[in-house]
Order: sequence, then structure tokens, then C-alpha cells
Amino acid sequence: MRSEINIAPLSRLRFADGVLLLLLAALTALSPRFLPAGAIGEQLTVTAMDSVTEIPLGVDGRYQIPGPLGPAVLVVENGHAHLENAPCPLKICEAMGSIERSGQVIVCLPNRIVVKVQGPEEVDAVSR
Amino acid sequence: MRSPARITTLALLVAGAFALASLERVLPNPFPMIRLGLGNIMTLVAFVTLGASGGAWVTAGRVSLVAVLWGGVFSPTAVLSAAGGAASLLIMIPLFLSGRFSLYGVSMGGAYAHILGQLTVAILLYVRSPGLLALMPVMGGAAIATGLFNAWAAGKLAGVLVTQNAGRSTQHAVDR
Repeated sequence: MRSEINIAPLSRLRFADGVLLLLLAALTALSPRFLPAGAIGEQLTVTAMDSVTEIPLGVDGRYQIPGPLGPAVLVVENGHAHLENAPCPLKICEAMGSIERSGQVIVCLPNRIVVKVQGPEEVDAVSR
Repeated sequence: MRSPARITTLALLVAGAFALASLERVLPNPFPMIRLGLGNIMTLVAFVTLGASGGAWVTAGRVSLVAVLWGGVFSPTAVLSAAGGAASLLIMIPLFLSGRFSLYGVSMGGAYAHILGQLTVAILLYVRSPGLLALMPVMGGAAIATGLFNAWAAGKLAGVLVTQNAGRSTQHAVDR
């Protein structure tokens, strides 16, 4: 006795596939709404090598951020921040672009760096 | 069933998945946030030829091999790859067993679950901020596209394998 595999129903799009496709497309399109756009941020919280540093967003500057793979450069320009010269293999952190609104993050997992924008409320809560 | 034929097929699919995953790591990627997830093609072929448990073994085998041979068993990369693999199986197995979805649905669901699993674990374990969800439009859109592509490739490959095996004993096949 031999059990035949009929792959025809598995290799052709079916109704349920279409439903799933629409659901996932909707989830993708609506995903930005899960994260309400925060206010323009005031400072950055940089977590690197297990220590937390605060850096003002209002002042332009370049900062060396240490990591187990080597330093990356955090660039603050016109109220935006982005990472440059990252030593990690995939450079996802550079591809994440620049951030400016509270709640936005840049993450480099291989190099264990997290840069987070803090809005006015959080800054008040921390420093006053 | 643990027939030699089944174990051999499993081993070949795991090796294929590891090779594809490695190829993807070595090739230059102009869009670093997007992974093609080519290794999942072999998991899908395993679903077709060996059933759901075969698919689970191929994903588990690939994730373990990549973690051990590409360095860093507990590195964030390996942890996230395991999270993605587990999440994708958690979705692909019921989608496949339901019998309502073709490989396209199973693959798309798996690819999407993979990124959701990764983002969730990355947020809970490393980032501790939901801000990472900002990546969802790019990663989600890519997951749908790569999921469809991988399903197409897996359908072709499974077609060839099934036709080639048709003359031989394929007792190990189909235990959905």
C-alpha cells in the first residue's frame, strides 16, 4: 500500500489564503496607529554597556556610543538623532533612520545599544 | 513513524534549510531589515512530504544549527531567530492541519508570525519600549511578499520531490 501525496491543493492559492492575505495586509497598514505619534522629544536616553546616559536632542552633536562590538556614533542634528559607523554586521540600527518624537527608538541588538526619545512629560518626571 | 526514509528526508531538508539560511546571511542585503526567510522553504516542503511534525523538526534543526555554527547560542540574534521560528511553527502547524490553506497561506502566516514573535521578544527582552513596532509596516509588508514567494518555491520543489518519489515506496509520507 502506498500513500500518494496530492500537492495540487497545497500549491494553488485558495479562498482561505486570500482571507489571510487581506487580514495581514490590513494589520500591516493599520500598525502605525497602534503607536500614537508622540510629541517632539526633548532628550535621548541611551542604554549601552549596561549604563544609561541622557543626551539633549536640542543641541547638535556627535557622540561615541560604546558597545561590545565597538563604538557607534550617535549624531544629533536639528532635533533628530541617528546612528552612524555602526560596527554590527547587518546595520539595521543605521537603517532605522532618524528619530525625533517621544517613544521612538533606534536599536542595535548585536551591539546592545538602545536609543529612546523622551518627551517633555517624561523628562519632567525624571529630572524635576 | 521513524522509518529510515523519513529520517533521511528530514536530514536532507534540515541541511537544505541551513544552507539557504547561511546563503542569506552571506549575500549582501541592501535592505537589512528584511529577511527572505529562504530556510522556511524547506520547512514547507517538510510539511508537504512529512507532515506537521516534519516541519517542526526542520525549523528546530535549522534554528539550532544556525545558532551553533554561526556563533553565539545565547546571542540576541540566536534568541530572536528561535523566537521567530517558534512563533512561525505555532501558526503554521494549525493553519496546515486545518486543511483550508494552501502553502501560500501557511507560509504567509508563518512569515508574519515570525516577525511578530521577533518584535515581541525583542521588545520584552532587550528594548523595553513598544517603539520598535514602528518597524511593522516594512517588516510586515516584506513578510507577506516573502511568504508568498517561499510558498511558490516550496510548491515547485515539493512537486519535483513527490514526482521523483512516485515510483518508489513513499510509506513515510502524509501523516497530517
